[in-house]
Amino acid sequence: MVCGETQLRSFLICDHSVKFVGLTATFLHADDDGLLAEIDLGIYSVSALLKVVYKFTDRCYIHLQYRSGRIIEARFRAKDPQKSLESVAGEFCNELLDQRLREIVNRESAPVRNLVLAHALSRTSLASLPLEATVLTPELPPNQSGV
Amino acid sequence: MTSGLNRSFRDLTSFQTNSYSLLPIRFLWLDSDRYIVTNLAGNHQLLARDQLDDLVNHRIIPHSTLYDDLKANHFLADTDSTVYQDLLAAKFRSRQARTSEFTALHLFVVTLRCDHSCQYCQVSRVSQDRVAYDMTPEIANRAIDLMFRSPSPCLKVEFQGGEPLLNFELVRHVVNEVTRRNDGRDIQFVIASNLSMLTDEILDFCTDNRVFFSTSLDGPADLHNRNRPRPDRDSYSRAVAGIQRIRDHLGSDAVSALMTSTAESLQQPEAIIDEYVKLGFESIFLRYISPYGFAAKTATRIGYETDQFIEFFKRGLQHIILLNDRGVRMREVYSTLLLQRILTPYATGYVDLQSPSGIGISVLAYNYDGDVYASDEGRMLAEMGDKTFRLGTVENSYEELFLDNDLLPAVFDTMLEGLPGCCDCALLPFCGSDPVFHHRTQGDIVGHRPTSAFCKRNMEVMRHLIRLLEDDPHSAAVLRSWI
Repeated sequence: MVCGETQLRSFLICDHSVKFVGLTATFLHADDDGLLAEIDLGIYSVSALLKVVYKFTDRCYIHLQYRSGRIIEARFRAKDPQKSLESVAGEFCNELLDQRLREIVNRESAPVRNLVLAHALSRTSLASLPLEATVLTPELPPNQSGV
Repeated sequence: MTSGLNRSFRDLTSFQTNSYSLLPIRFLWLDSDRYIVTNLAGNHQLLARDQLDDLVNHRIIPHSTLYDDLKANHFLADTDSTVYQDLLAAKFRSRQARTSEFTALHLFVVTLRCDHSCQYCQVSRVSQDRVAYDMTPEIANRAIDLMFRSPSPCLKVEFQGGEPLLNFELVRHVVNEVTRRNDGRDIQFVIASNLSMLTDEILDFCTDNRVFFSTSLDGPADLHNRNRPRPDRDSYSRAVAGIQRIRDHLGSDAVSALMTSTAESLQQPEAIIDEYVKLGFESIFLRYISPYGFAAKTATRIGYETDQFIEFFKRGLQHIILLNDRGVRMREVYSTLLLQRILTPYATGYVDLQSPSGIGISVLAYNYDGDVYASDEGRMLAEMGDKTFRLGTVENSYEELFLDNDLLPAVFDTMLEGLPGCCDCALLPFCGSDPVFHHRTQGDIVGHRPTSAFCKRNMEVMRHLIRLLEDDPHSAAVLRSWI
């Protein structure tokens, strides 16, 4: 059975990776041993994949291995054998898409992020700005505990 | 394009280039077709999936409403303005301001003795005549020495127990000594008390020294008395009488109340909130039960699942909003803390919602026996035999307490910016790190986010608040009025 094919096609189109469309037929398989996903490292990085599969570790046992230099296989097995992996397949596709976008944002905005953080943490003169002057006379923390 | 002309005279196409730069953002799905997008300053905006895709792929039409909104929120930048760097930096510094002011809250556990035997009590209870469980003046003096080493311009001294009024002589000693030694700080005193031992003498002292009270009120009398048994089964009536006496002596704002929710509480959020209204309180903290002390030992009897708490919270919040509609002044404290983080650039002092974590650097707990803990929950764990968060004793120097143990590595290791599951989460600017909770519930200070009750609870509560702010203008107006 091929799962999440519609979502996969959608991602291929919006990710401008139509040249990999041939993978749709084999991207996701469900069999007696759970769900097997094939991830093309030409599209996703290993770190993006690791972040995505981490989100499923509440519901699944997950094993990753290289099938080739470019393809990683991710094997999902439900912790609860009674639970279907169908929703996992769909969510996995969407999470991969999200992580791909995050990588673009992180890569493109890294210089600005580093500059802003360096600016924020090094220039003590900013403390005299009115915005921060308000913070320097803060409310005290609320009570933390009962009795 | 002719150079030198005012940009107003350029032709239309010059305004339609997509040459904006992406600024650092995080995003997270809110529901089936919307994403929450935030930046490191805590600005937030909802985007449809295709809008998010357009933003990242530089397809937003310049000077469209969406473009201008994204620019105003510092999610993108163009050549029209470069002040975004200064603004983002200033806002980020504002949100982190408390980090440099650290250790504002100092908890003095003046005794472990208590006249109540509450089901969920967070520390071991002992009988009233066990003097061995009282803090001594010598220990208190050393704790005061340490407290004044804090760089914070504001200090809050909170007396904890057991029941602190059972060792009121020490409370009196600490208040007098701290007042005498005050080097110009803004100092507040709060006694966390069940109020059953309140006397006129105590009230007179507290009036003279502006010592406030925080008490426990779990709801209507039957619920309160079942949760908080004492020999005469009169905990509720004593608490209510104490609240009134404090108000009469010190003023209406001199006493606050905290509730602890047990499984039985979850069935009746409206009744609990109405009880607070009846007693004249204008806020209520719908609190999750802490997995420490007797709350952990009796978990099967009083415990509940996170999902049940979230339902309780949502029901309670809805009821409070309806009360506001009827002109009743009431706000929910946890929502208010989160709304301050979501809607303003300012930091909040709640220890559980900070990154770096508030342990040690926002709070120190001085136990009755002289041990010093990185948080109140840390000393509760110690009463269960787990001293992971013990920093040392009051005999240690300030430097030894902060540097000669695993505190700073723990704070560093649990910063959200470096945690799996958190580092990409759009709710990071509003959330916090709770290493004690994760150590207790998952055996690891970092914890496993996909199965973390802390993460699930906070994400669901924040998503709920953001949906109300975005989709329900009426509720949004009420929520905004709380900050």
